[in-house]
Amino acid sequence: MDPEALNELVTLHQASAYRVALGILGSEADAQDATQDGMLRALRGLAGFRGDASFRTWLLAIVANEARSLIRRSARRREAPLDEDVAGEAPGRGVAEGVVLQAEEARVRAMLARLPEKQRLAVQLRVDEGLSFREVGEVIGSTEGAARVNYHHGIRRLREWLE
Amino acid sequence: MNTMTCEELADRLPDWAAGRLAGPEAEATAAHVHGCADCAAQAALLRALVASRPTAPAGMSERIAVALREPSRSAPPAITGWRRPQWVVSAAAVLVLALGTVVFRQTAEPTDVTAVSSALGDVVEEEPVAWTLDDGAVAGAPVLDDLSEEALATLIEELGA
Ligand SMILES: [Zn+2]
Repeated sequence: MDPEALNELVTLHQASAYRVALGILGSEADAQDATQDGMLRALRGLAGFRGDASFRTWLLAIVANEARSLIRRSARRREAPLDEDVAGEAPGRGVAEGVVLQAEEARVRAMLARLPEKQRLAVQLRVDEGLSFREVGEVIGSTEGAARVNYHHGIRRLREWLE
Repeated sequence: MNTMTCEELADRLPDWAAGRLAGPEAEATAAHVHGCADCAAQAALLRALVASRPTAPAGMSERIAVALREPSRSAPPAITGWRRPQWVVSAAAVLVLALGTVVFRQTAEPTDVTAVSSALGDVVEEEPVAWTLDDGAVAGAPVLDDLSEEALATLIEELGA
């Protein structure tokens, strides 16, 4: 695959990949690592993409796995000095510069982080990324029905917490 | 009243809240939401989620693109991210001692080898940088891949003893 096409894939999917990683890891620096490693793994292993899922879904599943594996080795990671890029990053929750969140919006996002992982990812993938329940299932490793149930349970819980 | 039930609407509500619906579907959804307090509350929650959607950090895609052009510098496809079983690392250590010239390059200080040899058996936490090969890939699995089955079996047997 030519480099330009690869760059295009990176540009197109990096934000979704980053949000999925952030949803699993909670840390922006770790999420960047997982996004990069997962995208490199996916793009270098394109031969493994069989086309039975959408490329995006396949990519997000790989990034999610990368994020989970990063959790397993995160203790060791934190002992290492931060990259300059990471150390220099702006504080905040990864929201675009210049965007000031309303208190309620920030609160909802913070509550999302407290959901169990499958519910959290189901809500994120359905709301943030616009994936269908079938695609959500492909990323979180569940059936379409289970993805729907996880989504609705997550939404219900968020509403209870926010009442 | 609307023909769509709240349950039917709930599945598509995130798309509506994020502005991903259009035409009759969007209009029908809006009509229901305006007449249903419960779905309106859910839509408000979803809109708050959409509004607080994180964006990718500045410069991340460029960093990924750069890393993509440097094939072996980071994230070797097969092994990074997975803690290799202890015997694999130990086997690599034994291999270094046995066939040092083949595996090691100038990046490994002699003291590293000494440390490894004196502590053989509990060398697992040896820093990966000591195992760096010429091409920048993390040593271990790639090296072991090059081993004959016979050589590998021998190493495992030795380590098991
Ligand atoms: Zn309703």
